[in-house]
Amino acid sequence: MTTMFTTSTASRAAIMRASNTTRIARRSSTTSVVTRAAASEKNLEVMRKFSEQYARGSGTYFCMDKSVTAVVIQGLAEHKDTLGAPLCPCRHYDDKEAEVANGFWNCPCVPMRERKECHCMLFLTEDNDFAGEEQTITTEELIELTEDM
Amino acid sequence: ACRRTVVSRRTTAHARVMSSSFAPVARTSAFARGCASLKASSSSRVKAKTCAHVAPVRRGAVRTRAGLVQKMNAEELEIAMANRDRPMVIDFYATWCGPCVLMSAELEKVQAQLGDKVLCVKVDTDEETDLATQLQIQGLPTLVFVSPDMSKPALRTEGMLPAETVVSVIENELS
Repeated sequence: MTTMFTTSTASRAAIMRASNTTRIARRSSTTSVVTRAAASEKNLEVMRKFSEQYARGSGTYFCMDKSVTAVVIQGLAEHKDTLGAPLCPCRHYDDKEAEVANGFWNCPCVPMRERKECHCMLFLTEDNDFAGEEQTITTEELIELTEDM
Repeated sequence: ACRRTVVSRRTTAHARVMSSSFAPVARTSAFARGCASLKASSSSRVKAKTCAHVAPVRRGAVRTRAGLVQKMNAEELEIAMANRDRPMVIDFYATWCGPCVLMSAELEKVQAQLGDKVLCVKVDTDEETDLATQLQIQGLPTLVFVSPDMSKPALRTEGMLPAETVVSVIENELS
């Protein structure tokens, strides 16, 4: 038996805009968690460029809050450092190495390639209420938006 | 200015995740009843997977400042669930998951708004890999809503939910 909840994506996006007076940190202003080393500069740059190119090529846009974009790119780069491939950072895996070998969740994942569905909110179609207007993110933005993580 | 490509109007994965978060909410009955063992449910939304141990990811220094939403490990979570006297919301997240960042902020708002009426906690799935595997956590963030009533099944959602929706679930489904 399931329960239905309804709300509009527009209202969720409005909440995001209202709360996004500054870039969103990993936690609220009263909490900060730094638990992970940042990815290597090399792979961070690789994934940054990939993200920009893929957004352009797929006709998708980065999130209106680019801290989301920055976090995901850092996650992709970290997985590329540790696993050799940009495994989707927005999922839990029983066996990351096996998932990398399988390839389904290597970015761009199959749902993204086939249906432009990115649950990481990295690549958003124009009609998505969370989509911004940009397809670029600089290295400086990447670092600045994730420096407190 | 970049030239926009007209894309067909279709629901994105994020929106679908969002709509599925608002729409079907799986009832993870085993989660609440088996809180002591925290075993995965047999919900139709959950696929059984081989529980292979995940290699640890490289970690840096840890620096934390306490917020309203407490981070817990598996043992702390089990104790909290066993002793719960109010609804609980468990946020399963990963550090480099973008929507998890938004969800974390929304959950802080929920805890601030409801105060002692709810206990919101968070679990890092990269640290508590065994627990996440046992509970068959897949997409992140995953929220698990647990009622103080042991007979009520737990609910779970995938994807970011705004604070108002979380509050609505708590007030309408768990209390």
